[in-house]
Amino acid sequence: MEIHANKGKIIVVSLIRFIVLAVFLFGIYASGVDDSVFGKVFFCASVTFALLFILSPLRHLNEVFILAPGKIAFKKKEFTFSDPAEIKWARYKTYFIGTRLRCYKGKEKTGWKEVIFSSFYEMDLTYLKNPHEEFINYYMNGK
Amino acid sequence: MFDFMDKHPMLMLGLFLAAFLLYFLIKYLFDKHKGKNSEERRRVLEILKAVIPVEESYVPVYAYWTEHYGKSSKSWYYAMGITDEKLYVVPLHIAGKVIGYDKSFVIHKNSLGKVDSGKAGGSVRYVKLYDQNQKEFLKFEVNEVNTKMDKTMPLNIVQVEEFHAFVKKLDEWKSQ
Repeated sequence: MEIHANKGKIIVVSLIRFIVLAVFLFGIYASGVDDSVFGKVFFCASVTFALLFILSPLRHLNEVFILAPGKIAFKKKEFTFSDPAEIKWARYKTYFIGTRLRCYKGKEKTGWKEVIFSSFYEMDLTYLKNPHEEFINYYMNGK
Repeated sequence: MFDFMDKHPMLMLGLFLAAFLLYFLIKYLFDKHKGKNSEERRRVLEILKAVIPVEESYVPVYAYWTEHYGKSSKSWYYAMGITDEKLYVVPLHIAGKVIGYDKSFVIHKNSLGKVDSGKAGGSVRYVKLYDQNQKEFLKFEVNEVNTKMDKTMPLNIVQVEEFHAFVKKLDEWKSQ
């Protein structure tokens, strides 16, 4: 079974980011960009950062989460299991960026290095369409 | 309007707090009413019916346990059915409106070393079960009224009669 990206959510998140950052950057621009080289570089860097931040959710558009008997796969990661309860789910509130949904196998890794490099251990399923619900439906007699 | 707000900041704060409390009171009453025959309640009963053998006569309850670690928390949810001799425990998995279940297990009264069924009276019981070596192996909270509060309390289930019957049986286990 394949679960695809939630395109509506991705577009809404990008739009919200665009509106918030457009207001912020317009505020900087309206208050006058410093004529010095540093001021211009700072403004250009801010615009570049804002564009990357706004467009970054779009890279999730083609993500697919695969559920198969005894295994799940996402991007290049694959978790195999004999009992679906081995797969743990967690929601992380990342304040103004929104809530991240991720799943992992085994014990949750909470060390600072593991948190920074969490994408090596976990599947970040934030932008998919109801992945946790579909997981329960598929493996755990969900209704 | 803004002039009034400037002149009476404490009154505005009071009104804001009152509106906030009123919102939660209305939400609680609404969820409590809904919980008497909610979809979630029916689903929990359906799961128990699918797991517990038909010949068993049991008291069904929904129970959970939440542990907090700093800013994050982890919750375990259960559908339980208690008979005179056995406790059927079905781990639940909940996401949004979907409720699934995992491999169930049975605890026999005679296999327990100790039963701590919590403080008598009230509408909440904190239960701890210990094995023959006095090692705690299961703990859960049972409530008369469960209403949706946040992601850790996702179900509206009101189980007043079941709660009293369940704790009565557990108290009997405790005293034996």
